[in-house]
Formats: sequence, C-alpha cells, structure tokens
Amino acid sequence: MSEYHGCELPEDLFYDLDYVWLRPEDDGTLTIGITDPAQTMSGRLQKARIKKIGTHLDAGRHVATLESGKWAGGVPVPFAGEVIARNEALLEDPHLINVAPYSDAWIARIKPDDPQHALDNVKTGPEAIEALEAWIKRYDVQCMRCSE
Amino acid sequence: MADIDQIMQHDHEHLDQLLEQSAHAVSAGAWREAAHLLEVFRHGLVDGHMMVEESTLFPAFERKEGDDDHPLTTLLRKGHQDLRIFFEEMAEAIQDQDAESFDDLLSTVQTILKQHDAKEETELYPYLAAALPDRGEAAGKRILACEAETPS
Repeated sequence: MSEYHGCELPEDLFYDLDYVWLRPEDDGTLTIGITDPAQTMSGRLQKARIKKIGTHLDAGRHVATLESGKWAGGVPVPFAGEVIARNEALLEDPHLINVAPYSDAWIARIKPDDPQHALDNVKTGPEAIEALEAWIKRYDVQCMRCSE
Repeated sequence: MADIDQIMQHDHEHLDQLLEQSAHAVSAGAWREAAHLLEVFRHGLVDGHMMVEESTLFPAFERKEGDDDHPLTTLLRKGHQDLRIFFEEMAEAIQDQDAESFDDLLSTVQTILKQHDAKEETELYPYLAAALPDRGEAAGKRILACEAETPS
C-alpha cells in the first residue's frame, strides 16, 4: 500500500487517475469505488445515489452520484457494462465512503460488455501511483481518515 | 458594455432560469417542452458559456498566473466535463419520461452548478479584465449574443 500526503493508494487497483478505482473480480466483473484523496476532496458525504441493478451504462456514464455539504459529483464508469450489484449500505450511510473507501464502501459491481478491453482506459501499478501523487499535489490534498 | 465579470455572473443567473424552466416542465409532465427547454439550456451553457471560458477565459487566466496546469482551471474544466455527461443523462431521463431520475440528476447538477459558479465568481472572474488584452470585450459580446439566442 502506497501512501502520499496521508492518502492511501493501493498498488493492486486500477485507477482512472481522477476519482475512480476499479478492482477486477474472479468472475470477470469489476468493482468500482472512489479513491482516498477523492473522498477527502469531497468532504463528509451525505447523499449517495447508485444506479439500479440491471442498468446498462455506456463508457463515461455515472454509476452513482455523491453529495456532501460542499461538493457534488458523479462516479463515471470507464467502460460500458451492466450494473450487477450495488452497495446498499451506502444508500443508508454515504459517510462510509469517508471511512473505508477501498473496502466496505465499494460502490457497485459492473459486468463489462467487452471484458478484454474494460481496463484499456485505466492505469495500475507504479505508473498509476505516480499520476495519483501528482493529482494529490496539484490539488494540495492532505488525507485524513475518519474513524466513524 | 458591462465588465466581463458582471456579464459572466449574469449569464449564470440566466442559465439557472432556463434549467428551472425545464424542471418545471418535467414537474408538469410536459415532456416535449421539457426536452426543448433542456436543450436550450444545454446549448447556452455548453456551446456558449463553457466554450467562451475554455477557449478564452481559462487560457487568459493561466497565462496571467504563468501556469497552464493551474489547479483552479483544471478543476473547472473537470466540472465542465462532468456536467456535459449529466446533461446527456438528464435528456435521457426526459426521453424516458422518468421524473424520478430527472429530479435526482437535477438535484446533483444544481449543487454542482452552485459550487462551480461560486468558485468562478470569486476566484476567476474578478481577475479576467486584467488578464485579457481587450479587458474581455470580445468574450462579453459572445456571451451577450448567446443570451440573445436563448431568451429566458
């Protein structure tokens, strides 16, 4: 696990180099969430809406929208696919994203239309970590972990 | 002609009114009218306001600051990119006559616009006149011409 300015950056995930992380699952689906620096920029999240199971999304469309007192935005999916699961706990408690962005606060699981090319537009490993560190530096983000 | 910061701020208010009109049409179940009004709003914002900002105002601000990767303009450009996607999703919600999805999207978009506009009005617009060679006259004329095309 890399850490920069207090922000956790798991090296095994894939990133759109902005807000989103992706984790390939054994069944060919991809789990999506937002990064530690992104949740820090967002502030304490108060509202989460996630697309219903069965919704088909074109690449770039939002699988979820999130709102805090100072920020609102979408969670774009970097590939086309169908929502096959969503984290119902976030609908009740969006603040969970501020607490555990890479684990309990996953947002949705998506079955890509074209599994072979689903990760074409995201990065992983040292290249991704370097770009995310530049992102953190550009926006002058200092991550702080919420305990609850 | 008014100063560029005043023209841009007024355009925010003008565009907010257009979006409200589309939302009212959705509430009334007037789907064709809602689709037309949303397109008028989208055209005014994306093809007018955002275009002027991205082609003229942001580069002028970046030149003034000596930083073509300035955090403020980077964040504002990202906001524009997100909004373009949201507008497509709102248009689809209207096409599907899905008022619940439209209202959810509207709530998010209005929050984004409120924060985005406030950032521009406090951190960008006040510095534009000094950053532009003509003090923003040409950009102001383009915005006023777009407003004339899309009366609210």
